[in-house]
Amino acid sequence: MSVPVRPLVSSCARSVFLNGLLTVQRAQSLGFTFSLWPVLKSLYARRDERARAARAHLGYFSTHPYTVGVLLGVVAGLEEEKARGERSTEDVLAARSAMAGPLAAIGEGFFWSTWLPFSLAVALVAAMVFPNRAGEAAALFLLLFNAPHLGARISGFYLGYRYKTQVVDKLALLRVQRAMVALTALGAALAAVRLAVGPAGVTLRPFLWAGVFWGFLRLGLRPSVLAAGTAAVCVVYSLAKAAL
Amino acid sequence: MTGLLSALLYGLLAIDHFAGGPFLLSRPLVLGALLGALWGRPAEGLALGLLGESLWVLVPPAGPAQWDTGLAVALACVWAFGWEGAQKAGTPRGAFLAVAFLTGIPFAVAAKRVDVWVRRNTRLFADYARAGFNHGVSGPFWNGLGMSIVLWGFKSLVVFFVAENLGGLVCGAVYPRLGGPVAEGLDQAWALWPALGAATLWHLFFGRLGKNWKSWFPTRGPA
Repeated sequence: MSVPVRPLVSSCARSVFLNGLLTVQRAQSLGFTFSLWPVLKSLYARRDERARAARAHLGYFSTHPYTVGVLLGVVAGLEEEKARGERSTEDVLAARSAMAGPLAAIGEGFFWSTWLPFSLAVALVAAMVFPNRAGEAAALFLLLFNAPHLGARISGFYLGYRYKTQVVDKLALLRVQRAMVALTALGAALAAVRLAVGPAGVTLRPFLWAGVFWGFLRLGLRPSVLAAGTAAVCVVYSLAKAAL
Repeated sequence: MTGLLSALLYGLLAIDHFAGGPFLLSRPLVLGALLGALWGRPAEGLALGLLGESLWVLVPPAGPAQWDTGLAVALACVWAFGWEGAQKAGTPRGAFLAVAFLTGIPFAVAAKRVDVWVRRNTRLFADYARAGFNHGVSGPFWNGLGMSIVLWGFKSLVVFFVAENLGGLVCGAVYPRLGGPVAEGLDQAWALWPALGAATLWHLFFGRLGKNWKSWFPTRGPA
């Protein structure tokens, strides 16, 4: 028994609603079960069988919303094997819980801490290079960020379904860590370019200020507090200058 | 009318933060650019958006566990562009933008409490959906998801309206009096904040590079 293409596509598309009914007690388990539902429906014709299969996935479950595709693919493949009697429910749940944490860590490290700031750095430079079409910087930011996000969902699902638990070896070949270092270095360089090039040409003064702010951030001050503090210091300085 | 459209736009896009993708539709950069275009001030909207995005790039759009950074920028846009009638003539523009930006932060942080409260109470929808799965049907999940999306959208609208009006009182009181050295200082701060945004990005990037400096060099793998 194998799952037709349509339920697999539907399952991958539904992963967008992973955070839909998130709760503290069970995190994303409902969204995950909902995403897996087309697969379960195609594997189990009887409602009670479907309910039993779904019930197994309703325990606590949490991962990154962008890397969930891999996990969904793996679980869909394992559910298929389970329906053929080659696997037990425990095998499926063990694979799911073993992979959820590492995939969440990859998603956090790559998407939130590397790709999002990198996309922002590109948008900053785009807004500088094309000042008259500045509004399109936001569109570029969205496109740039969401292209790999959607790619990770779709290709992750495909790889997970095809290679099942062996997908870990395939993901290791992607060298995500190296890519993150390269993107981080490039992002830092782009931010520097944005800072140095102003309307009046290349200036180094903003670097000095960025260095001062960077020092305060290293001390543990939050950017919001630092922004308010900068405003307060600037106002006091202006008042003092006016008084003198 | 534009204020109402701004609220609707924010309410619609905030659903992405709470119930969907997230596709980053409710990030400060996107909201700043859209609201700036809506109010006829695209460059200033983008500047507010880029500043908010740079400062809070490390706050992921991960639902009510994090405060909605997009709300701070959306409110700042409405106050900076919608209250132009109250703004004192001759005062540098950066001063008004700085006041609007600083006023938006506490409102957005306070709104997180409302988000947490709503999330606790949407457990009813989750229980309803879970009961459906226990009986072998997915219809209750669809219903629960639909109700949840409506609720989050409605919550975002209410929060926006309340914050817009309360903050509007603050900005409406401050703007006509804003001038002299205070306005000059705020304008200077507005000019300095992009450097703060870049420093925040560097802090993040260098922090990551510092942790992973060994991976800059090729290593010999296990035999």
